[in-house]
Amino acid sequence: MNRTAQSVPDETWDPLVFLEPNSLLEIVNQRKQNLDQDTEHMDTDSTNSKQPIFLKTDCVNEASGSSYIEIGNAKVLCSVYGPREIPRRDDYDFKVANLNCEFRFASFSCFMQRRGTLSQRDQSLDEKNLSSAIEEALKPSILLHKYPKSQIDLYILCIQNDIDSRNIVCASIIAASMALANASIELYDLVSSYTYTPVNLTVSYMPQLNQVTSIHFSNEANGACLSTDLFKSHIKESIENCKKVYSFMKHILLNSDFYSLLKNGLDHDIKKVDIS
Amino acid sequence: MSEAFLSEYEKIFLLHGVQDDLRLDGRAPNDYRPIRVEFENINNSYGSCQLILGDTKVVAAVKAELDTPDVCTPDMGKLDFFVDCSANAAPEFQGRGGEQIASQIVNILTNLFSSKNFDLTQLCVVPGKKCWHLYVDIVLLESSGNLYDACALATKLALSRARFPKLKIKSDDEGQVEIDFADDVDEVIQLNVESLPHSVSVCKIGNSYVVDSDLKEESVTKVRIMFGFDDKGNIRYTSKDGFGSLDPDSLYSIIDIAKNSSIKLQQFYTNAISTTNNEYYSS
Repeated sequence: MNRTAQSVPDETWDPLVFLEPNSLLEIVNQRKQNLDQDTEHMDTDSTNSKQPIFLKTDCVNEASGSSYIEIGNAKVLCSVYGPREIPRRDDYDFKVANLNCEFRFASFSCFMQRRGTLSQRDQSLDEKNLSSAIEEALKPSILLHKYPKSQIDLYILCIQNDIDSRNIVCASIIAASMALANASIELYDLVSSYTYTPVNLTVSYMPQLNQVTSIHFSNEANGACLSTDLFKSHIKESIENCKKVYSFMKHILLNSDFYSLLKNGLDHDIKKVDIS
Repeated sequence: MSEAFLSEYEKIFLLHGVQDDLRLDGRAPNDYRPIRVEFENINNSYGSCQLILGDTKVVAAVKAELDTPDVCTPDMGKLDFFVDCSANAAPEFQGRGGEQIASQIVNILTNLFSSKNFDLTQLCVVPGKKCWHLYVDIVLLESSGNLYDACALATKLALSRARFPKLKIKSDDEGQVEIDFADDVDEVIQLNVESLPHSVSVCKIGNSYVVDSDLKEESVTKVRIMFGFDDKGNIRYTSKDGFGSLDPDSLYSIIDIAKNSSIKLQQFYTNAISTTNNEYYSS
């Protein structure tokens, strides 16, 4: 029997879906509670922010720069390739480099299964939105005019998604900024980011320059509506937390960069010659 | 953001003007352009609205069909947005050119009119079996800046004017349901859209802030912040547009400016839906 010729339904469901509506909700809530308990457990030994952060650079050796981050349940891997030649002449920009940012969810990363391998399926709507959100947060920090006629590729892979995707944006932004720094791309400052989880407000911030690079608040998950004063105080709190995350990022970067320079010092020099 | 083609000197002229609170069309920084709305001019839809904001022209039409609800939300209807950027509005929308801006608008509308802000249970017909599936189709006829606010307001007005036929539900012993139109054809259902948020976007140009930017102003804008304000003045959605950054203090002033503008928009909305005419005009 030729299995490939058999038609497969376009959409598949978790078998739990076919239970009674209320019991499904119960199971989903139970799963969420379990995840929440895990985070609470991890919270107790955190010092920097309400959720512990694990951050590491130099995880993909082939890439110019890379980083891996865990915040709460979110796990994100990011790698930077470039600055490199633009493959298509149409995309040439004689003034600035093109920043190409691609965010993808791994097939197994979410509550609902995503069909097919990454190369088989196109970027879904939420992946596109996240890509542009990350690009928007990072672009102000990069000295793009230093790399004319070239392209910088930023690939971000979500390995595990958090409840309601809540830490994904800030984890991706931190990881991408670390990877860019790790790739020795010239930056005005590292972009640190923090999601105030109770209302799902994400603020990205460059502490040295005192600049907010992106802000995003959506009540799709929790239905929050905030008065302007409350909103401002949440932004203030998020910025304070961004500063804490920043010092942590700086620490990791300084320690690992020293090591990577020692290890790959020659490679870095060769790459720089290639560009000019 | 779509852009007007301006020379460097024109941009500087505009920038200096805005910093002295003088905009090219003579408005104050927190003034909206005149808004004009026309209702029910698309006969084939359940509700429609044409909104003219300065030179920006948008048509929003609501269509509906019966559908089966999602398994996870058996008591809710569905709502989808489609935005068409006609090449009439701007030459760069030709072919697939308008796709990116269309998907941005769809993304913002989906966030603004999500199930947490819009009561989707009013679209339910038979829980778990049948519900209304609303399609809001938006066409940009002319693009002259501030598309987000125009599209969001046009959508809210179109939804508020939408009328659906009342349905009669019969269920037999085996649990099968039969749906028919109610005997009285004039009986209609109206949607409750009071709490839906308005979109207010504020642009930072130089060191000044302007609301309702036109195309020329958008080409010198580095940062634009979008807010969704509900009828009580609470924030329900925020996002940043454009590849610039801003300091926290400007962010706080932008929030205050946006709140004041949202009050004006809310006032316009209440006046517009209370008119018995199919037309409403504000200056």
